Amino acid sequence: MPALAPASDIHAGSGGDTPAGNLRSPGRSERRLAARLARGDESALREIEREYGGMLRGYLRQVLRDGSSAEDVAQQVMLEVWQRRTSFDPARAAISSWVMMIARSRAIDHMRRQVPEPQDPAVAATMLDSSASQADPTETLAEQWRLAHLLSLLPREEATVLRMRFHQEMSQSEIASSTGIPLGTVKMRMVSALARMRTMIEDEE
Amino acid sequence: MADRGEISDYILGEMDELDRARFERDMQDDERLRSEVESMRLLVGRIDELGGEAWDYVDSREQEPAVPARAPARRPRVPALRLALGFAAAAVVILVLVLALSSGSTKSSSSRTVQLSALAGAPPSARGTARFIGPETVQMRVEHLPATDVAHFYELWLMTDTTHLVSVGKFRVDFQGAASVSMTLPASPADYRYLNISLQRAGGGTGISNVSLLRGPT
Repeated sequence: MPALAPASDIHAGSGGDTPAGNLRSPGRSERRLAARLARGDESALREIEREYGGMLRGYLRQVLRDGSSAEDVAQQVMLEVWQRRTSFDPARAAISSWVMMIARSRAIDHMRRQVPEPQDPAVAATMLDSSASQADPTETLAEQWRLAHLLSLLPREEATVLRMRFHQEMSQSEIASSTGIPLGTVKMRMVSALARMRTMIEDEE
Repeated sequence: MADRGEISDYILGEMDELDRARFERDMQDDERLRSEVESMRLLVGRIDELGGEAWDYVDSREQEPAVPARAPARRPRVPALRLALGFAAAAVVILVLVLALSSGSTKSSSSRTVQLSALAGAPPSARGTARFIGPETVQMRVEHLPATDVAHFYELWLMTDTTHLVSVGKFRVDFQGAASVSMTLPASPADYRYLNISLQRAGGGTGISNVSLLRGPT
């Protein structure tokens, strides 16, 4: 079992297989990656760590609210990915979904273990109250981080437009004037970004 | 059928009233358009719910320089507007300074970095840095430590000696012996002499092991 890279290491510098403007095909590359993993190719695990480690740790940090615990659980998740590699079927789920499914389970386990002495009882109670009628925050956050991962695969200029619109809450006209990009181009990028996102989500599901 | 630009303008609420009314009439007559709009609305709703941490992650994965260095604003800037913006910026700076001074806050946002050096028994190339950010956070980066397996992990300690110490956090390293982690400090570094990294055995208790590999001053 190879040791694992921490989140903050993963995207330092260049690299990766998703150059801006040149989208990969998640289906094909994931199938290849899953096949290598199933064969016991340790480099495939490292690639999963590199590709999904940031999403995994971001999710765990947000759910567990403790960086040290998040790192511990992330290591458990990657160990489980390795141990269960032969049972993963890429035809049934994307690797990101599989990793996040394991992450969610391990995060819930971790929170249950913390219940006797929760760092923040209010948070723990919310997280663990299975009778609560609200959406499960561990699941909601997992979905959000999967979505964030897909956003990170967009060409940079398209991701930028989405970020300015949805995170910075700028209108398309405001984006155009603040960047100097013609409004028509902003709109074109918005349309393209949303279309790509929808396609990627459909591929994932 | 409406084009995709119209659909996104409609969902984003950026269509003028006349176009909106026309678009909604089109939707009434076109089931495919309604379905397309609903699908996009769901997607936009999901993106809209993303929090700042998720967007930070998206940013961190982007590999090219930030939006157009290439494209200076094309609209001619009115000098008076520039001047007004300059005054506004200066006013904001002054306001922030005044607020900072009047709040009497003693929190410091300064940071400093210390080097962690290899101890006897560590690979000679092992090394690390720890950056203290304010009073509560330490960001640590290590390289060339022996890789950890599932039975072992590393632990960062604030310590003066083996009787006066506190654990900061645990971590593992990648196959190249590197790790980069951010931890919350449980105590003031000023109360301890060293930052120390020990190799710990899983299930080996909560005390520090007798295998320390990196150390640096606090």
